[in-house]
Amino acid sequence: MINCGDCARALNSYLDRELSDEDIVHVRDHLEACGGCLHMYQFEESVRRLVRVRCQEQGAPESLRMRITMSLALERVRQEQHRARTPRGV
Amino acid sequence: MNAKAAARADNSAHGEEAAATRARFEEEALKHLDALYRTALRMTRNSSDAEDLVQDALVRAYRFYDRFEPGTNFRAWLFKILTNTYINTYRRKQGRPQESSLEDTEEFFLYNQLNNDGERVTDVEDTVLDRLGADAIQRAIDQLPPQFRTTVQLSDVEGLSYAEIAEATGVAKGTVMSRLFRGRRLLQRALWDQAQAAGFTSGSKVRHDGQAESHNGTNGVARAKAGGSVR
Repeated sequence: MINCGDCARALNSYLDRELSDEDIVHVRDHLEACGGCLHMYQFEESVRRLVRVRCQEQGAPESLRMRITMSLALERVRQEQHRARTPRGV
Repeated sequence: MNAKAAARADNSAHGEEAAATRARFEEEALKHLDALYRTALRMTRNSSDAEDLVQDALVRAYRFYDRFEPGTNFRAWLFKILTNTYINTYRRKQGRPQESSLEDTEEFFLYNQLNNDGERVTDVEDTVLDRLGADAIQRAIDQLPPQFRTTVQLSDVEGLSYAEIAEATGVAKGTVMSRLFRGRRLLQRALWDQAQAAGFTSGSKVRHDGQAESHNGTNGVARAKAGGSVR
């Protein structure tokens, strides 16, 4: 069983889902047995959630979406013109 | 079929293929538009440059779409082009990044600030930090030094994995991890500063200037002491 220090060090990677299967089991076992660490884990998770949810409220403006659709169409025309000017088979 | 007709047929087949490619690119890329725009905003810190940056990056990505290897990570590839476009074009324009005045702090700073003397807070939404709106949280992220800022944004807001962030920002996975480690510490400090600056302190579990805000005098003294020790 890992101790509280190991658990605290692994906590961010655990929240990031970046631990190996083996380490996930170690952290999970510790969190089940240790109220203090579970508490800290829940708190850290809630900080992550706050940041993610609030920041994701913002999206790209609709005008940008339209601008991009237009500039991609223009870029394709430019490519076709370039192709037409370039001699083929050389 | 003579040579001219063959060339025409070839051209029109190419035209159809190109149209399909553009449609496919556009559909896939626009799924990530919100995330790209949010990240560009954190890089440039103004909406007009952020819009130009995303547009430039997507036109460039479209131009190089044939170099994208199908089956590899399209999202990370787009973010990589965003990062490179920013570095090549916009960073130069913006000049030297201003030094961050953020104080580094211990890990789990917010937890330590909000949990003491028997107070038990398992959810930050039960604290004054819940009153921070999107603007304040984005301001907090903007206070991080640039390399930490982008890494934290990609991880904590956009949900990219370490490997995706490594590709997107052109550094090793270990560097991503150390940037996240330090960046999150700084972010917690910056969030706290935002709450303080907004004056979100009354009737809460939050200390202000080392002074306890408590309905209980004895508890208050103990909290003020704890407040002094973290500085």
